[in-house]
Amino acid sequence: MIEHCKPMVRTLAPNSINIEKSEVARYLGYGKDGNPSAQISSLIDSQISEAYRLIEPSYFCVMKEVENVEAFRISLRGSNSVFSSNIIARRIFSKCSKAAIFLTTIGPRLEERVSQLMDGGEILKGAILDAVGNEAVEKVACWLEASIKETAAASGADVSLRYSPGYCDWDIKEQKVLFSALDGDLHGVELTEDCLMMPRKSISGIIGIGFDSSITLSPCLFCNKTDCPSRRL
Amino acid sequence: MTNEENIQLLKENIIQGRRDENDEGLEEGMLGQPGAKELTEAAIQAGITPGTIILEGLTAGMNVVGEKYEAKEYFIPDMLASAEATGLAMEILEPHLAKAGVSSKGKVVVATVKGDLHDIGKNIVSLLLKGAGYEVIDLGNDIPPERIVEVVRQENPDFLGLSALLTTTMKMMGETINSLREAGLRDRVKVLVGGAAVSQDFADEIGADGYGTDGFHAVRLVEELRE
Ligand code: B12
Repeated sequence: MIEHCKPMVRTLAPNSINIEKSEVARYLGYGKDGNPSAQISSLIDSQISEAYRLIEPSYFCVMKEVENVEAFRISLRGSNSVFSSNIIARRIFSKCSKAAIFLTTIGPRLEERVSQLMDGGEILKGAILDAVGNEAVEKVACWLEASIKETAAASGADVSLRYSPGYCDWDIKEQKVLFSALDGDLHGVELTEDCLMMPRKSISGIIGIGFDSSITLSPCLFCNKTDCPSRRL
Repeated sequence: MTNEENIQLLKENIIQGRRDENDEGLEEGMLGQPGAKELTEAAIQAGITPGTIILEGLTAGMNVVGEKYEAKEYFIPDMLASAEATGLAMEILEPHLAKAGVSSKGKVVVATVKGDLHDIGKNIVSLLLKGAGYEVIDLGNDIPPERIVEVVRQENPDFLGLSALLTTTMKMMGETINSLREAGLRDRVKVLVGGAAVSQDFADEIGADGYGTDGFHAVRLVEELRE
């Protein structure tokens, strides 16, 4: 399904992703110790329905061969794709033969509606719809991740977790390298001067593919920054 | 309804986050009962002073909301519902404030710094400050230092709140403070900073006057620094 080297672009039907209410609640700050009240709960429901009318989920993905990995340096074959992250290079990409570079988005319409609500003083509804948008774009990335995993599994390969520029020791400025590797019509997703993506509800990153099951492990297992809010264990 | 009952009910409706009679609130059977809007209108009709309505109705209610949020009994959406109800009541009171000689507690300019597009946190901070009786000028996100300097010069606010969620953009907070200093405006305004990337250490390093972890903390900081 996902071929080598050729970039893949695809738009999904809104209902092909499953926006989970419990995840939306988590973005809104509800944790183990609390559930939304009846009023908030029905607002979340109505904003989820609203989101299905607004989102335009799509993804872009290109497969590259891993050429060379040193500490702080992952070079991919073709184009000049070199990424710098010590942790991901050492723990993951040194054992990968391929890398999938991806970008997912839900398009601009949801966040335009959020701004409209906020400007009109409807902060509560706006904040809820914004959280629904976070969950939606997260689910597009999960969808793509699952599809890459499936393709890899067909040839007996394993895949790593997703890694994004801006997380861990990977500088957000390398969004520029990532975007040049994707190279093509990205359905209007653009990088600002400061390397943020517009539309905002977008996620970019890289997934490693290889024949060593240790690449599936989280590098956080070997990291002693135990207070990191993004720790994945 | 006595005046005391009116104010007590208003406070209760702020806590429940009910803007008007069409809101459900947290408890059963509230639908159709007067909400913050109707109770504020009734209080004005009854001749209760705007000062009393704000202090004993709205602010007293928001204080309870703050306590419940701190105790993890309330979450961000509950707090937003209450703050919206307070905002609506303030809108109704506005024309009466000047007449009664009540002035705002102070002026606050808020902005997300240049290069950063995260604005949910900043919006929450500005809503809570409004709810606490401050005049808030929200500049939006991706705001360069020059623009902030210009607004501080023109509006002469008591406080400036800066938000940044990225390690790459938090540097802009320091640059904004430097630009204020160069423009000779640094002593005219107290600068507060917040957002995921920021810490107390960072705030001290760039010479900010305060660092806040959430919206209620922002209000507490402003109240403390006002004295
Ligand atoms: C939700 C989220 C997203 C969402 C939505 C983003 C959006 N723009 O809408 C999605 C999934 C799309 C996303 C994507 C990305 N994200 Co993101 N994201 C977050 C997350 C988890 C939460 C942010 C949030 O909305 N919080 C909720 C609000 C209510 O909280 P808040 O903003 O902090 O505000 C409160 C307080 O901070 C305080 N406060 C705020 N401002 C102020 C101001 C003053 C004066 C005071 C007193 C107080 C105060 O009060 C507020 C209310 O309580 C953060 C992690 C985190 N813990 O913050 C990462 C985070 C911001 N993301 C990060 C990254 C790297 C990205 C990506 C670049 C990843 C990628 N390569 O794809 C992309 C970039 C997207 C883009 N457009 O370019 C990093 C940034 C790291 C860095 N280097 O700086 C973070 C910090 C995660 C991390 N730990 O690494 N992200």
